[in-house]
Amino acid sequence: MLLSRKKQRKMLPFREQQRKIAYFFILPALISLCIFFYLPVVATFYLSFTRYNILQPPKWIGIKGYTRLLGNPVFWKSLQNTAIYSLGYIPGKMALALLLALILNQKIKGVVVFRTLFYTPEITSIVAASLVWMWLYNVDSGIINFALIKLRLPPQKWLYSIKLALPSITAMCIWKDLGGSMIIFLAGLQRIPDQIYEAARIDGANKWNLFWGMTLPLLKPTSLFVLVWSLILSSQVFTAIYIMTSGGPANSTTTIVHQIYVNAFQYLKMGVGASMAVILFFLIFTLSLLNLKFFKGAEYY
Amino acid sequence: MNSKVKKWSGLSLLTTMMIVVIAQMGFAQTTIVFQTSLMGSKEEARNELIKDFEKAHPNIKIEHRGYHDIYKNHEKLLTSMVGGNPPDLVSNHDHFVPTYAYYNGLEPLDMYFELAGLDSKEIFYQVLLDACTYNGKLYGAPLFSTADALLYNRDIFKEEGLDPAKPPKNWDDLLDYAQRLTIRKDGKLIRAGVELPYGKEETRNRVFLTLLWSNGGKLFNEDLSRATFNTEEGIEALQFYVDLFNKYKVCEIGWGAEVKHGQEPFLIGKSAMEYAGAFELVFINNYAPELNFKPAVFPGRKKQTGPVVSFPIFMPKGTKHKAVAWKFIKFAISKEANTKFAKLCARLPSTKEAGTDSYFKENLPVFIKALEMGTLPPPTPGWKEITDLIQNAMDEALYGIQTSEQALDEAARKANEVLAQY
Amino acid sequence: MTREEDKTKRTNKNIFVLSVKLSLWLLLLFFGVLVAWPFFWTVTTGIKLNSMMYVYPPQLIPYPATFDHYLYVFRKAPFALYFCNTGIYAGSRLILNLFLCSLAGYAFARMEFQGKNVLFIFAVATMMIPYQVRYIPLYVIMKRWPLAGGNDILGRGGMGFLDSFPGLILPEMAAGFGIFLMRQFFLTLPRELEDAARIDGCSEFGIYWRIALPLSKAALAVLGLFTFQGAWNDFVWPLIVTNSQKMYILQLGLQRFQDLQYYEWGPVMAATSTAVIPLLLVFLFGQKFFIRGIALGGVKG
Repeated sequence: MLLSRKKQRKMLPFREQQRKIAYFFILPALISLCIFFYLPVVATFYLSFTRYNILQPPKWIGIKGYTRLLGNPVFWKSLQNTAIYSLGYIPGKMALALLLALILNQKIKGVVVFRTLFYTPEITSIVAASLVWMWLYNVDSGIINFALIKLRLPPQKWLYSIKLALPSITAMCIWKDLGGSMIIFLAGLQRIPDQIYEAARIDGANKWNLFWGMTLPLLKPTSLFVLVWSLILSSQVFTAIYIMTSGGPANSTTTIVHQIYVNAFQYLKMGVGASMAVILFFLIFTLSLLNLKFFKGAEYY
Repeated sequence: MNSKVKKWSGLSLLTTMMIVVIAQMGFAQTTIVFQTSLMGSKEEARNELIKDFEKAHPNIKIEHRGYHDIYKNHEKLLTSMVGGNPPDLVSNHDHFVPTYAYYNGLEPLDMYFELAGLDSKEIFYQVLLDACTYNGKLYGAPLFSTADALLYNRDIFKEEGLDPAKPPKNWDDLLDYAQRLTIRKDGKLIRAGVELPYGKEETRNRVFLTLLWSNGGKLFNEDLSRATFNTEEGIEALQFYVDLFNKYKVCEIGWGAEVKHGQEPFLIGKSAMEYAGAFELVFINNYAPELNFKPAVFPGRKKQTGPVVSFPIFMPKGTKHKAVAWKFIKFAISKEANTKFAKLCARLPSTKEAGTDSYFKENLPVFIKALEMGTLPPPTPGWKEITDLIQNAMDEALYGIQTSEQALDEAARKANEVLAQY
Repeated sequence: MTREEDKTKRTNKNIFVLSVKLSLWLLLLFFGVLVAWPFFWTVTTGIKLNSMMYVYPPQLIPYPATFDHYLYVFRKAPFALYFCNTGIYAGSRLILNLFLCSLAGYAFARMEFQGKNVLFIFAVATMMIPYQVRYIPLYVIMKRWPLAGGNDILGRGGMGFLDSFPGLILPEMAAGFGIFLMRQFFLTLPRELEDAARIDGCSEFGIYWRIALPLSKAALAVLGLFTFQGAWNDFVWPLIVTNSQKMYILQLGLQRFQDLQYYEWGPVMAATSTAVIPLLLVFLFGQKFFIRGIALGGVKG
């Protein structure tokens, strides 16, 4: 009988014991996740069918909450803004982080200093970062407009422009988060031993072949992680918007989590916030699942 | 033992017990939790108030919890109410009061005022009182307030041949002066005639209210069931605002945005006039003390009035030390404490008594006047939502996405939905 | 061509290559400094004299430097306490996460058991829940925790875990992020090692502890860094769950100095810097797990 390697593994005798032990391995983490994540999720799911103002007990209204939400243009605008933001944020951040990781994986002089420099945005407090970026984007005295004027280009209103406010925030968020992804890519690159590269080079491969044929495929598990994680992060963008534009001008920068916050805590319409969170959850869940399926079989060696 | 000894020992035992109990009462300390957003520029005033109170009432200690963001203060109150352990006293922006009161989260204060023999109508400025009243009951005691005015630069007035003692008194004057004071070079704004708030600045909504009310318009109808800010008066008000930016170009989006600490355009002479709240005076004192400016009541078309914002102290329901907490409120609205507080943070007092202090007459006469003539947005729990709708309408008109009429109509339609919920 | 010309040609080529490398290095440095500039600005503003604070053009290197802002900040708030509390919070979260997530991640990567894929997605899906909708249910859960803080068996009567360290730490003791990250890294481990160990009679836990973990130092460093940093900078949950000053963590203590209307930059930046410098140190410490060669997989046994 010719069994595939996988099938052969499945028939080995220690499988029984491994199965029992596996459950012990995941038990502590899973219990924690159940209590502290899924219990609130269940509560949120329930609340999404109610009218809840936090100060009084929730009142059941069934599916009405959802139908009203789907008829609200601000909700759709926030979804649209979140999508536009994600389309800029995810590729931008991943490309830059990967590029930096590749460069800083070499034996360059002062590589630790460089890695630290590119990592500092992650540890800069969001308040200080927003201050600096708002100053950068300042219409009269900001450096960006200053440079544009010197280059004979028209200065822009950045955070006060309906078209440019969201891209401006996207740029800042990419800047802030690329250090984290860079580190993850670096850790992934560390797993690839030099010997493989040596062998390939001896076989006559050039730098380009090495990158496309070896590095990228070997980075698949890492890239998948960064992709899904970036997707989740971008769907939940909130603090930058809260500090820098409060969703304006004219709702051009409000995102779905910003709307959740505003509805739940400022308008005291927790039920609406809960409905939005449920919809967001299912959207992201589906997208992530698609990603995971697409990159299936990420096992090597 | 004979009965005499028994009697005396019994009596002395009783007396000792009574002395111990009374002594305990004397030394028994109550701690009141006071949660506020009185931070930053108001921190000193708050510290002094608490210190003075504790000195006058040695049995009571105030534990202060401060959150500078009024929404964090609000979130914290919400969660603690859910958990059943709210602070004894809270001080926050007045627009939260109707919301908390509507959901039965606050303790009405009428009874306390009555028992203490105080008439709240006599004590507070009417306008501030209205902000804390919901459904006929008083839910908060205003601690201090702020009003808006037009600040103008007298030197620049003189330069351009305008009389520095005669600020603009109506919209036509305002437009005329602003046009004369604006300087543009090759289309780039060098000096703004009048600087109006835009974007996410706190004063942004208030400028619309000022224009609306001074044009004779009203926000809502009598029973708060319908929005009326999209009447002709409202449209004229919004259009005037939009025109100042886009048609007459006496101010600009992006002008002076996010600039602080002495680089604000008005402080360095790059704006001839500006719409500002009383707290602006603090900045001018600190960063541009030699600025030759004067506040004036913001010019109105049909009447002079503007919005007033107050910061009351209110009592959440379900706390244990209500009577003791009331003592603090009573102290804070006494003439001395109220005056001292307002002086230390350069704001306006909330009581009429404190307002008679010469300090305010000398330094903030315009603001006191604004307080006396001011109007308050009618208290409704949906205020934040409606404010956001108005903000959005202002944006849409300002950026030319819709006309003033369309923007306000849409906002009014949505506001009616909000009002219908309450 | 003569030997002489050959040599010159080679030297010229070397100089060319060297100068290209040097300019690329300088370019990298330029971008690094640019990216790290807000961080520098935070730290330098904390030691700038008040008189030099708002001059234009801004003073790049504060000279003379002053530590007055730091003294002011330390006098106004009990930073030692904040540091202690934040250290306990971040440290506990770090250790718990490293242990629980690596256990679970290993099981998901290298063990076979029923429902593996479903449970894994279950774990990863917890990342998709925005924290805004979690924290009110979490607050109630912490308050009603049975037999804690004066509660009876049904969780009534007392304050539960509110305003305490368990209340701070428990909700985040395991995160989907960590499980996902560790699983992706464990997937890249060579199976031969595992098989060899099993043949040698090693238990499952032994394989995890003695083989998988040591080979994943880079991944653990990444997870540790992210967890520690997340906890160190955490603001919303500590705000909600703590009340008394004695439980304050750094971010809560910092907001005293952050009145956005009336900003005193010197003290604010001094305070922010004290919170940020430890993160920088942790990052630099973590770097040693990223030096090439340490994290290689070898079939040496």
